[in-house]
Amino acid sequence: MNSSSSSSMGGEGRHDDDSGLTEFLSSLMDYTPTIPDELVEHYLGKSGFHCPDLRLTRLVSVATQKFMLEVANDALQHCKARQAAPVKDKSKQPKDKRLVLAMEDLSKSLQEYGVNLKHQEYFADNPSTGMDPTSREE
Amino acid sequence: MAPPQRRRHKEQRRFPPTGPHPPSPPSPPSAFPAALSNMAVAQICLSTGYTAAEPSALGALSDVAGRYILALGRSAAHIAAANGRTDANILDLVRAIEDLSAAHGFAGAADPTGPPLRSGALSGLMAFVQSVDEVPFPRPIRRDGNQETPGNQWTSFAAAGREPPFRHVPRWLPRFPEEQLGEEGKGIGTREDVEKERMAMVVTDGVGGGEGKKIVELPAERGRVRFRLNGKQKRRRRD
Repeated sequence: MNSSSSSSMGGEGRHDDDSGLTEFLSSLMDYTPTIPDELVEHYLGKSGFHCPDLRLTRLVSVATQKFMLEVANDALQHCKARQAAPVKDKSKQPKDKRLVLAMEDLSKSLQEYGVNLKHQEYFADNPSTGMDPTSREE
Repeated sequence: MAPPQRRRHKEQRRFPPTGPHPPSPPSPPSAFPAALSNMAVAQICLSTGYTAAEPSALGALSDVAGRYILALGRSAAHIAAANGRTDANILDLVRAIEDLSAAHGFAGAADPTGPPLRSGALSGLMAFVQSVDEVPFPRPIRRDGNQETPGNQWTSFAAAGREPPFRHVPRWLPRFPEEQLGEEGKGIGTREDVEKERMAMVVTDGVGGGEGKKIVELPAERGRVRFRLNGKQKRRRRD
């Protein structure tokens, strides 16, 4: 009795899950992902993945979007923490509090996801790049 | 004789052909996908609250996005191939997503024997899609015609509901290209008709003639063609 009821429960649960999954996949057809299908198909084609189903392409796109959003959110938290950190010399404090995606925060957040990304020490993509470490040391 | 043989054997051993990720040859980075990826990632960053981005950081993050898609596709293709299939399905993809999100963890990762469609990674994605605001890509993208999937074009005679033009052609073969066979209503007449049509194509094309000329002989002799080179007249006959 007990076993039969549990098995029937399991069957219903599986049915619910399957219908939920089907619903989710069909909702992906109406979903417009931020990462365009063409881009995802390009990379998937390069990787050897072959599936004519558009829903799977959308699923990959959504998974990538989620990953990017998590990384960007982590980097944003790092950025906010860095800006909120007390600076001894008031004159050296940066004036604008704009939130700018910087390599420093990005490499910290990507490290948590297993991506070791490091800025080259001599890489200067804006004039103040070389100034930062000296000002912080002071 | 013996030493070179041994050396060759050693070299073969040194590079085993098997491996989870064979080193792909370095391909030149194409600018268009990178630019698309940059735009998409910039939109994602904007939605998190960033107002600007260093170009190098944005480029690095979009590169990571491309590599993430590549890794997902490669992993799913490997799993499908390991199960003896060429096309990946949702189970392979869910498994690949689980593998890639294992570094950061997801609900239910402790039980790898659970049903894959009830995976925590998948339900996380479902919750994500419901919670996040839809930010579509700002511009339409022109699709490259060469990258059409062959699955769309290749339908067998049986699937298309047609009879193959020749008796020896089985019905499960993919259909012949229609350009070479003429219109549908016309059907296939005699073999000579087909040959004539193909030949006409070769002649009017004038591009892929190198291969066509070997197969199809022109019926009539051609008139003489004169070329004027450096003021002198040379006579040549094309065959």
